[in-house]
Amino acid sequence: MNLFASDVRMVGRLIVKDWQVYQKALAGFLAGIVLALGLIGSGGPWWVAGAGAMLLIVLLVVVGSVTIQTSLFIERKQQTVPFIMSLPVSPMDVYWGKLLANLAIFLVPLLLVGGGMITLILTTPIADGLVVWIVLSVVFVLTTFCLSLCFAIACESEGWNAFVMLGLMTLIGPFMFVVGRLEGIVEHVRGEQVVWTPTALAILAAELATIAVAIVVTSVLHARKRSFL
Amino acid sequence: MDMLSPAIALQGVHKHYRDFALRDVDLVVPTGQIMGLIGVNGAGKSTLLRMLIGLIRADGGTVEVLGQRLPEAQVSVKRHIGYASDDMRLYRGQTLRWHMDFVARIYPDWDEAYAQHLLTRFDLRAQQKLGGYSHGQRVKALLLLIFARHPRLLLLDEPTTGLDPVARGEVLDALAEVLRDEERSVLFSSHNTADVEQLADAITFLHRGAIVASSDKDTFLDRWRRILCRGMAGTALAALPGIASVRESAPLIELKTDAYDEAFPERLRAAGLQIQSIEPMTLEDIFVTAVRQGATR
Repeated sequence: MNLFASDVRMVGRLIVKDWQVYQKALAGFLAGIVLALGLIGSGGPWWVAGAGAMLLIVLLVVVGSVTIQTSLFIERKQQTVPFIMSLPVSPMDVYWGKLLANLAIFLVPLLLVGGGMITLILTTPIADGLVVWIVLSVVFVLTTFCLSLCFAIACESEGWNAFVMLGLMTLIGPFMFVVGRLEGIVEHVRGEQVVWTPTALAILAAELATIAVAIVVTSVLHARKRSFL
Repeated sequence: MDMLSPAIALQGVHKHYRDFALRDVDLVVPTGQIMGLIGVNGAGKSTLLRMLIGLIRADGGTVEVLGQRLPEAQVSVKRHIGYASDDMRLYRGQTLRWHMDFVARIYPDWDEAYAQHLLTRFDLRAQQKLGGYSHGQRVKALLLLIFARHPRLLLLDEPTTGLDPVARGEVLDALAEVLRDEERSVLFSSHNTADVEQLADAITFLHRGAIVASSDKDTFLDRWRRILCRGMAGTALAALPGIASVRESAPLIELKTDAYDEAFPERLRAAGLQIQSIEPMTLEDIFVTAVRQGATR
């Protein structure tokens, strides 16, 4: 079993194809994210910044969900999958193409949100210590996206996918709340220094490990397929 | 890629699903042949075609396409295959030009001049999004994407299903034009015998996952006859070889045979029958009779 038995050029073409198919929808989300960042950094009353932060989280969650929905479920429904399978591609080419295209499409708004928030924090009077909490939260959103994506690739049932996706989404709020109050993080949130305590690093490592395990398990499952259907 | 091998060679192929099985399929399509695969819905045509492009792995037997084993060699074989099925769709939000560019980047043999010719031939607008195309236009767009890269083997699964008579005629004309290339092999499935009769030079009947008859079209049409006789359908008639069906409606007997030759009428007379008429059969009639004959064997 070779997890990387793929034609890199073909995988690249599939990624570009997905990017082109979904770039217009993505542009709309990016405009919304820029608006939300503008609200947060506007220096207006607290509720304007609060509305911006809420909009940011909602957009990030929705863009992840829409990316998976459109590139996997709607493709299956609209029957474009047979067209792709008829090309000189192997099941692993299509798998890596789908996985990496979704990650690339989602990383654009995610990095915009993460980068935008960190820039706002470091360039405004907001306490710089908040950066750690922002990074952990953004990587947690990435983790939930990766878990949803891997599950959607492995399981074709829309019902189960909706259940998993919604379940993971509901964890984002509690995660941000709990991590913001954890010892090792809470004491530095309002400080002017960005402090990566062992607790913060452990959470970050756990998030990255979860992403890696999800991708490896899905890849192993997929590599066992020797034909598409 | 082996140029001397048959385009398709299946031997003892079987595939079992919970409600359906493809059983012991042996089939050879020589290079340059246009074979029509006829069967009712659920006969196994799509399963067989998907196997021939490596999408489905057979449970047993060997599948060789263009001299290579499938599904192991599916990537290299698919470079030379044009496959279209009635459940295949293009991206609704993208233009035909976008699809042409996408396919051209994948296949080095993409022939842009021929693609432009086909655009005119099919009366398609390259800059229009596929979402605005009619079903007939979508089928023609798909065929354009396939034909413009000059595949050595065409696998077409019900290419005319759902088309109105005008679009169907256009697609069949276009197919006939493309199929003049004698180096290109074609296997296309249909439950419409008229389409197959128009295009194919060999025919295979598939029923309930098994091949019930396979031969070149002329042999089918030459060897099958509907014969009206007078007399008694006794044991002498039952002993005659090549009788596919017997229907009695006193005083007439209708016989259908798949082994007609010059001596056949004499054999009927020897069996005590008076021949009233001998008529050639349509492919549809041959198919229905062959399927019933296969089902009763």
